[in-house]
Amino acid sequence: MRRLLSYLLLLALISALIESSICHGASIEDSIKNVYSRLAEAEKAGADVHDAALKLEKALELARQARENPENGSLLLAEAEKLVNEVNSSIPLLIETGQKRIFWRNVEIASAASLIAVSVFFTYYYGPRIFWGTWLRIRSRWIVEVSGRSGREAGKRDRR
Amino acid sequence: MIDDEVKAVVLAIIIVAGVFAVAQLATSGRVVEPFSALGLLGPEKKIGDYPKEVLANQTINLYLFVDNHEGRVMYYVIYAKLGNKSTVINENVSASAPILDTYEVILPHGENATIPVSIKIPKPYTNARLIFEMWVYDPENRSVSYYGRWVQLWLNVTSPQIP
Repeated sequence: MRRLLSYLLLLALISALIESSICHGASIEDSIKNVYSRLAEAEKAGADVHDAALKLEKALELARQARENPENGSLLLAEAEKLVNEVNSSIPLLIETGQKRIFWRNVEIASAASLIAVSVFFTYYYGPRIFWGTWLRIRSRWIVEVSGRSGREAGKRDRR
Repeated sequence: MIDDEVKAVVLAIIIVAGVFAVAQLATSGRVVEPFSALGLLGPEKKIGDYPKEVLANQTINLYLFVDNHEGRVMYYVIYAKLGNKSTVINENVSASAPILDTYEVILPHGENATIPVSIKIPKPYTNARLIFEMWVYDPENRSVSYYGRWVQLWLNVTSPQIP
């Protein structure tokens, strides 16, 4: 009777372990999906999620390997869970960095637009002055001679 | 010193160039035509050398190529299904056939993955269609939906001969 009880206990323990392992496997997949949803939201908010997504992909691969190799399952699942937690905890920072990046990008676009507007103004008002000033400077060393009736008689009209 | 018309032309050129430059800056990095790709590769990870005749319960080794150019991170779910001549599948309708295996992959924009596939078909089958469908996980609805991409491989599955 005692032996039967101990067998039953052992059986219950084994089934509980198997069940917990299966549940753990299912829960890691659920948490990957949850973190993916958060990551997609973060990307919409401007975060660069490239590296985080690759980490999540690695976690997904580990979860699959854990399903296929139950003997190393717990180890692989622990590693996957670590990666998922890592990605999950990095999301607020990713959003913050992304928002900063968007802000500076808008600043860049606004500055470029302003710079172009200012350059249009300067070109319109000072362009001709600068052009003729440069033209005169380039030709300042030219010697102008009064030519005869034809250019051939007078030789060269001007020399630099 | 410069004619007003010339000034106006120069001004117009500068304004057009300026607007173009700002538009380029504002739209840089934006994906114009988003798409996802699904490809089936042979056992040598190349397009070709696909098996045509296999034995029942023989492992069929193939590779799936998934490419993300959607401009956002994607969670792909690929279902391997076993269909036949009459199985209906198109861009809008997924195949109503038994699922042999499922492959999941998360890809950020611009990344691709080559997934090894090992599938066994348990019974002999003439003109079997090994169909791979691309589904995506939608984070808003928290469910997967058919994405309209699919590839297939026609196979004849024969029973192993007993000597």
